[in-house]
Amino acid sequence: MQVGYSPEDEDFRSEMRAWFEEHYPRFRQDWPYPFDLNDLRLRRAWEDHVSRSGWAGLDWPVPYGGKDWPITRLAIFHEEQARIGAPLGVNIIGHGILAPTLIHFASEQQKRRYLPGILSNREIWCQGYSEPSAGSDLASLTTRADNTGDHYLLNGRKIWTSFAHIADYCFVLARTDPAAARHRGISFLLVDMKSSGVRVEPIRQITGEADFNELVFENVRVPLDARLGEENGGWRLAMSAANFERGTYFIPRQVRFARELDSLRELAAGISDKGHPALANPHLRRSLARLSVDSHLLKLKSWRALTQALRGGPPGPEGAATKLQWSESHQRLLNTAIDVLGERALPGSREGVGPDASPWVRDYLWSRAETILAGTSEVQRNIIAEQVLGMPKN
Amino acid sequence: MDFALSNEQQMLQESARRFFADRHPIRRARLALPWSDALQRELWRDMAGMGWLGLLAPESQAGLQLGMCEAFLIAEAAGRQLLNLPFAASAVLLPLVHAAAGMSVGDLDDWIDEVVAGQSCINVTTMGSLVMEHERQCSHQMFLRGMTDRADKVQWTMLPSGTEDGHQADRPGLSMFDPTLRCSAIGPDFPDKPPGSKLNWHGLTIGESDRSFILDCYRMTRLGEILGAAATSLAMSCDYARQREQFGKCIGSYQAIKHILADAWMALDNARLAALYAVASLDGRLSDSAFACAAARLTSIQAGLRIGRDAIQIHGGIGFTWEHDAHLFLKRIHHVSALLGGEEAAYATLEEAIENQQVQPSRSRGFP
Repeated sequence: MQVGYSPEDEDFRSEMRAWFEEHYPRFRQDWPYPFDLNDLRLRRAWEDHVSRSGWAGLDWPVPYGGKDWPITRLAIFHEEQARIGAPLGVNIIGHGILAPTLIHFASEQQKRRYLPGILSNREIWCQGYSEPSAGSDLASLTTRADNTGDHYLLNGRKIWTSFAHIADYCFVLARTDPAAARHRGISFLLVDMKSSGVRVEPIRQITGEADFNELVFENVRVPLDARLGEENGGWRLAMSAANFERGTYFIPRQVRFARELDSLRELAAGISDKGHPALANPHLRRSLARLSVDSHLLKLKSWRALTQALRGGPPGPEGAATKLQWSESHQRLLNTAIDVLGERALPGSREGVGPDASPWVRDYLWSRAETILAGTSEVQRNIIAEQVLGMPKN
Repeated sequence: MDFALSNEQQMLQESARRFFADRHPIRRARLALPWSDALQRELWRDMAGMGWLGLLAPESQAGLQLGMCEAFLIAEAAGRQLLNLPFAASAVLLPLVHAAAGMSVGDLDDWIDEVVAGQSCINVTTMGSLVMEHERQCSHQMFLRGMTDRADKVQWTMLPSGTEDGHQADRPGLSMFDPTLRCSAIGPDFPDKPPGSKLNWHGLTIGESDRSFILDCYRMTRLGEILGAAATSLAMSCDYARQREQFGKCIGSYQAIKHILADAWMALDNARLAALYAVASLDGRLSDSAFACAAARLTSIQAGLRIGRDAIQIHGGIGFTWEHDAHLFLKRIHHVSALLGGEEAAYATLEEAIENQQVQPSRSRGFP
């Protein structure tokens, strides 16, 4: 047992930190619009800056433009980027989910075709999984791709598709054998969003923003060589992709969580009601203490995941628990923030009401999605009960 | 970065689990055997034979000079089988007090030799506690005062078990709460109180931070006992949920049961993760160990109680019977939790650790 990072890793951390501390404030200063971390233009510009500076494909094999870094360095990179407060990019689905799937399962030709576009962010990706009638029960999806011998003819609807309105490509799960059992008749297709018959309809969320979209495919022609893996072998690829997603997905999130908790403490320290400081409230102090424990647990879980990867083991079903822990802790954090703000959270204009509540309100509202997306909390609990504890599938 | 048990630690864990499962089945735990029973003395000697009673003791005293992680693993394995011998006191508290006191140890050396050899079985009561455990379930009762009240010196005295309370005969010490571990009430002046007692108190010089360190080590060992008991309790619930059928299928196929079990598993997994980091932080004398131990204490107590209570719910009516083992685990978890001050004390310690800024939990090692 060796907790924490080695001195060599810490040296590397210092280098990474120096780079971010030099570049991020300058980027911030030069940004011509209001500095809104949720603004996709800003997220894209920062992501491009990072890629152009050579910090992309960090864990990819060298022949595809990668750096083949060990996972600890990858973790440190993500930690430091989150620590400085930089936003997530807009091609995170391409980098985090599709790229490792391509590297493991694509033909050489497909790797050469698709990886460079992800590396440079020239091609933004989105993920076409959920459908209006197939949410938690993803394998019941009905989007069809009929093999005409020359190409697939794609028809159906996808929903909750993040980044679809700016994406160049979408990886789509579609049914290629309607006669086969549910999981067996599904293929994994790489669809060009500029194809004729693709329609994107934005969905306005409870935050007022429209990050999600509905995607409509009407007789979209998809070349046969845009299929990843075997025909009807798409489900297995989708499950592997989900495991890659778990690999590094939560590393930046747990650092962000720690930052947000620091901000929450600052917020609480600055608020008092009728002369009583908010922090004098023992219930609040207890909530904050509990959140410190949650933050600590998220860090330990990411260390465990790193250790597993370093020891060469496959990611276990603990990934379900990490997602559950993160999303529910994050909601608790933001519930506490909204509670601390009280009526300060309500006004539309900020004059004379003290701290700017709007980022807290936005994040609070957004956090309601976090226990639904990427597998609802109920699905995660089923996974734990079935895969870890051996309860029968229903 | 290698945040998982080493091969040696895994082997130790496996052999400890096998040992206690074999030597201390729950039907034996139910008997709450006294020290006067030859089986107990034999079990203690065999634990000594495995080297576990000299785990932390220095090699100069025939010890293994291992760390808190190993002590935690053994306590956890013992907790799975509701052991009623004072491992945490004899194998952790005693040698750490001895080591911290340096030269001024009186005949503590001899006591440690006897423990390491499995001859003596010593429970330790820190003054201020309202109860004394292991009455007649150990060979000696040691009393420690000054550990928590910033006194100049820490003092200790040792009595043969069974002689420490004049009116013991009418109070057998078997509690309704935890039938597997004897526990009796003591007054604030105990053991000076019994008429005619003239005790020999020895002074030890132990610094403030060493005292906190020792108590954290002791608490982590007791938390191992809680987590071990919780692990068995959860495994029993899972077995039952897979077997028991209602409405034509096993109850574990219903989401209502699945989700209770998933939450229970997650609570236990989190607590164990927090505990493994906490013992590593003690072994490495890391600066955030006070926070890490407090976090482990809160999560372990919460996980343990929840799992013990859920076990009775999941077992339904049978889980409410004396005959079924489910209650024994809930009661042991309560027993240890109450001794450690329960959730309230855990929260208070946690808030104090956070306020002291000794740790900044969000900025501890990894991303300073």
